Amino acid sequence: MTSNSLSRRAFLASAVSASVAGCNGVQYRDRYEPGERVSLTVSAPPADDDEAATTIARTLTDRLSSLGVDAVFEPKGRSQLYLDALINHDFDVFVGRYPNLTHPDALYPLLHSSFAPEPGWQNPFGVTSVAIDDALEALRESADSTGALREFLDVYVERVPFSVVTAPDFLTVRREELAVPDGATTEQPLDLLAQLASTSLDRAFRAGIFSVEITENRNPLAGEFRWNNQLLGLVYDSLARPSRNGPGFIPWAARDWYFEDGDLVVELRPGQTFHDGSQLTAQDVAFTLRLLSDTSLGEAPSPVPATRFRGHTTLVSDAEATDERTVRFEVADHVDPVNAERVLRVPILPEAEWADRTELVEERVTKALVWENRQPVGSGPLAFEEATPEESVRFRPYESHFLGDTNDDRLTKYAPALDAAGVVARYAPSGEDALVALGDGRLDTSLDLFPLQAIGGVEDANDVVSASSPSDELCIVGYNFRRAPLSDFRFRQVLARLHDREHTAASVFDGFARATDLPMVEDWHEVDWSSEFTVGSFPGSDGELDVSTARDRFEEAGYTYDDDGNLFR
Amino acid sequence: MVLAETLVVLVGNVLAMLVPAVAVSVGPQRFLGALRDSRRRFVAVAPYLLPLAIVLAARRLALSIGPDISWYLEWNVTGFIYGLEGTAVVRLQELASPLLTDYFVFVYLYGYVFLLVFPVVAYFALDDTDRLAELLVAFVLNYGIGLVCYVLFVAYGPRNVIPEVVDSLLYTTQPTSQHLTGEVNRNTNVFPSLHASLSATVALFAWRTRSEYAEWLLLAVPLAVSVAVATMYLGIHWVTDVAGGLVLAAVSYWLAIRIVDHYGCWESMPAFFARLSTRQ
Repeated sequence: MTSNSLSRRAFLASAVSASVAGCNGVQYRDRYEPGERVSLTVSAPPADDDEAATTIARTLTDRLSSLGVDAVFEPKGRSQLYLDALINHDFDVFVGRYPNLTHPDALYPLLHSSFAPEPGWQNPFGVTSVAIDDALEALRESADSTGALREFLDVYVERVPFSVVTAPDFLTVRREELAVPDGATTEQPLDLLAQLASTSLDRAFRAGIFSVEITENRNPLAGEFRWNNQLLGLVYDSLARPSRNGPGFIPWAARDWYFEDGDLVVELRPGQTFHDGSQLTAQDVAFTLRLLSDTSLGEAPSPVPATRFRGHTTLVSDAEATDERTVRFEVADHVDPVNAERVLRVPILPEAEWADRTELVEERVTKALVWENRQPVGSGPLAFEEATPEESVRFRPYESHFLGDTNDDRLTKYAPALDAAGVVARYAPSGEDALVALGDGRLDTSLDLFPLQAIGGVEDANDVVSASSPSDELCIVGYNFRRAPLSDFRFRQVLARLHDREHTAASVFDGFARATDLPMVEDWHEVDWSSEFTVGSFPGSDGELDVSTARDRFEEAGYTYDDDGNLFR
Repeated sequence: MVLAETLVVLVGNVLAMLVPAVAVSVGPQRFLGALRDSRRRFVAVAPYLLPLAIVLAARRLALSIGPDISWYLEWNVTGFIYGLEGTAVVRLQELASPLLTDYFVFVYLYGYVFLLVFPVVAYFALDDTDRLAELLVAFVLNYGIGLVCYVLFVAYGPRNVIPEVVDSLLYTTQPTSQHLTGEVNRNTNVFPSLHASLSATVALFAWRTRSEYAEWLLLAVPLAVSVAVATMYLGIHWVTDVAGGLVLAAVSYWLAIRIVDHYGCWESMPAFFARLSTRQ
């Protein structure tokens, strides 16, 4: 029995020590385990929506797989992708297009940490970096942004908050007989207006759209993914519009503006009316700014801003109508006046129509943000006429528009558009279909970005020509900072280098793009930043990844490989 | 307008195949005789027409609300299928020639519709209504199970995933056909291939009725194979989708025969319906 009791004691002792060791063992094991296999889902629109993005995302997935990452490619319809990525922040890595990069200050809402919890193109990546915040604030505060931009790029290439693959061109295809200058595209509202003016057809100008969105929803505040603003941008005037032949703004609904005591004072043109005949007053402009800053106008517990215009509305802290035709904007702290001018771009909404759209339909969603606005009432040169959902939408010229009696040299060339017969925008399911319609005369031009994959068909089509120009868009790869290992900047540094940008611009974009790894469009500065800043070269050549070099990069960043070549963190 | 034109072309092409095929295979006399006896034949298969109508209506519904459910569930199997077979369909397109492309486009758009419509007419002309009933049940099962898969899974086809190596040949050669295909399906619904499953189902029935329509078997089998190959050649479906379609066809065929064997056809209208029709 002695041996038995001994063995029992021994058993108890060993059980106790085992349990203690077990506790420690679990802790140690957790601490010393090689970690988890790196697993990433790469999302992008399918080829039907954006062939270049599909190819870039799939190529990235293939490369990640060859580097031992458990990588899956996940195509998602464009609106679903942006819903998941921008609103729900439910993504690992996505490839898409960042629109409207018209000015360095556009980077502020995109990357500043204070926007991280917000939906939309407001910091969808969840970047929270003091260094980036400081650089962005300096950028907003400075008049001559070259120095500030240099500092920002310095932080950018180290932190890689997202990657840029290319700066794609905007493509337009039109009938050759159209009286339009060579090389003219249809990217901006003013481009379309200029074409309406120069063609002056006695029937409606037939423009091809590749998304049915505007045939159903004409709310200028809805959706961060409304890419195509050419039509609504002409239905809703803004105070000023970006000039199409050079930097700066041309006065539009505003006759003039100036700075006084740190305020931006805007004088409206006299006698402007909305399409329903009501007067456009300074009151409407001030109301619009208040509405865009908080679409609940104080009714919700906390402001519900129109996310599309967040970058603009945060430039000013208040707007007030001082008389019928004068608006005084209080420029926000730490914003340089030159940057504050960008607030003039927001659309002007009639107070009478929008004032009662402020109720909440869901938590943090107001009616103003989601109603369909089937009968849009703006003050622009185009007025809504009729629409057939999923097919077409028709706009007529607004004869009472101020363009009819202006002497301003910068505006007179647009005036003949008011004598034309308006625009009918028709849906084409694909670029190939649009080419057939252009050949048959059912379309005069493409309006939305012409699908790249169909551009080869232009040569074979009769009496059809194409035009391209650098756009305000960037083809980007977004990383979700909320998820490991994407939260690690060393990991992102390696990811950012997995794109052969020159090869992509030449092959995927067929030359209709500029290879770049920097978050800026061409016409910002004369400086050649690419020689100064880069996220690093592609390990490989001609689109072929050098697997062993790339694996070394991951290991240098602190990641490990198991015997089967799988990447662990 | 484009849609209407495309539809007219579709109907014209299918009739151009259907009329001679019926004339040769069924014969005008047998066809007219069947028409004179159509009341009995309709009554016989009536219990199977209603489910077909329901499934076709559900198809319209699944097009409008299906995508919302699919995206809500977000069971995206595209990456899985791509991981499974990679660029296998590229091999088929390596054989591409303009003539072959024209053939497969024709088969995909028109040959397929002919393949589905002809046996309905031919089996209607048979005195024994069991074949027609079985075919209808098999169609219901194909559509029904296929629709459930479409709603459950998000799956994009090769042309949407590997566009740089697979051409979207249907839409590059017949751009306006997209107005038509856009009416009947969404690009997130590729698994399983209903083109493959319905064609294979028809081919299986062609074998079953080989003693009645021997020539049809000789036409249906190569045509069904062509349709299945066309879906991959044109970059619309993965090999996995076609394989899934073949399994679905086999299941539907087997079940359809069991179901009709078990429940049979109606000899006459049940009293309730008969009374309804006399009251009118």
